[in-house]
Amino acid sequence: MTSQAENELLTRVGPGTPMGALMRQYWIPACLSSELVADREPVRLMLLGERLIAFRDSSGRVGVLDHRCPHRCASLFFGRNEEGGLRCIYHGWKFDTEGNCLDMPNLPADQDFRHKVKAKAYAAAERGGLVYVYMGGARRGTPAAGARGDAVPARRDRSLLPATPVQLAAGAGRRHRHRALRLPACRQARGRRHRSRPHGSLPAGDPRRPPRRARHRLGDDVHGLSSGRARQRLPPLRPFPDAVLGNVPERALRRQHHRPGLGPDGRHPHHAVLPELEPADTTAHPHRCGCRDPGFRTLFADPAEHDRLVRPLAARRQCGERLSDRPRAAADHELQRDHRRLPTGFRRHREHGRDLRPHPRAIWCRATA
Amino acid sequence: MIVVTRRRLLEAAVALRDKGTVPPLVDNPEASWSARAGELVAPADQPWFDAYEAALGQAVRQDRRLAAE
Repeated sequence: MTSQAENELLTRVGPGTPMGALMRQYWIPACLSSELVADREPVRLMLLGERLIAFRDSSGRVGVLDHRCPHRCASLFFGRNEEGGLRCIYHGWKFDTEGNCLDMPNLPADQDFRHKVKAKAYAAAERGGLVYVYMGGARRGTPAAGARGDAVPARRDRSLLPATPVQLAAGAGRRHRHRALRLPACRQARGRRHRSRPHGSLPAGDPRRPPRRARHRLGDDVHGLSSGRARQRLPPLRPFPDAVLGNVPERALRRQHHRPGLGPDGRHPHHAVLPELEPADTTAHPHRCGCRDPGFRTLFADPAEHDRLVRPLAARRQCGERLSDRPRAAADHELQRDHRRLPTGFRRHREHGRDLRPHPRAIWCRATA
Repeated sequence: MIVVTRRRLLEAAVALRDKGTVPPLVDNPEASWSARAGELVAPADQPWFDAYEAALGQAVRQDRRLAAE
């Protein structure tokens, strides 16, 4: 039985926490390579409690930056992905994939100090159709990523998967703009029993029970997925769209991963399982069904405060209404609104980029309606 | 399994924090590539835990196998 202190140690993975430091020793799969298109909009990521954005510049390099512009903390998610970098929409500062500031159009040339400014950036590398992020900073004995833009240092490279592409399951949903959210959900989908847990216990007719389609998408409804009738209700199976991993024969992996739910031929996208996945962290929804609740309860000294401020939106999310399913403009609006609704102390805390405030209460809050 | 995993995670995190020990598989990630669940069919005339012990005795840890090669 783990003690409360051990639970804290286990579950806090933000910057500066021991478990966070441990996780940051490994490369973390962040999103699909196919999600990042050169000179197109960035993609939001939430990795180990850090809000990041990923984008691909004109030359095809992938950059992973803190979502806040170092100038005025506007979200670079809204930035323009221009030639060779991402330009903040607020004052036009432009950053390349390594976080170097390339342009400061709001300052006269003689006051320009772009060489002193650096956005927080993490090393990113692509392997087998996935973008991996290394958030650990300099590795012991390794030069601080001096060669990052040119080539991935050998030590780091060994932490990555082989480059040989193998057709495998990274999730087929075009609907999901923010695929990083899917990865933990995929892991949950591995076991049949797990899938039936999160929302499965609510009685039929309960308003909290997610609509069938949502449940299905989150991968948590089994209801006999292997039976003939249930299969007919599923959307048609497609071949996996993205090459993902491996030096293991494809068939062996498929058999391995699909055995619990659908049998050897079951290729439902939600049963995609990757060997390495982003760990579920304390910013994930307590149900760990893949959705995120930015104001989750344990951050608040008084849980009632959480309910008052955040609950309505969280409740909607819990019912399968997810940011990533909406048109981007609406999602952005909602995210910003979320942010404004949080208490001032919390917001300020977030903006300084420190870890979430620790709280003596249990980590996973009990889900209430 | 869950208990063991948690315990190992805790130990690795504390070791990294206190001693700077690099956690397992950072330097030899290939050891985890073929990590998969195992299975066996026990003979009908043998207690399953005996069969399990025998099978477990033959299992080779991937990282040690790689180190030996």
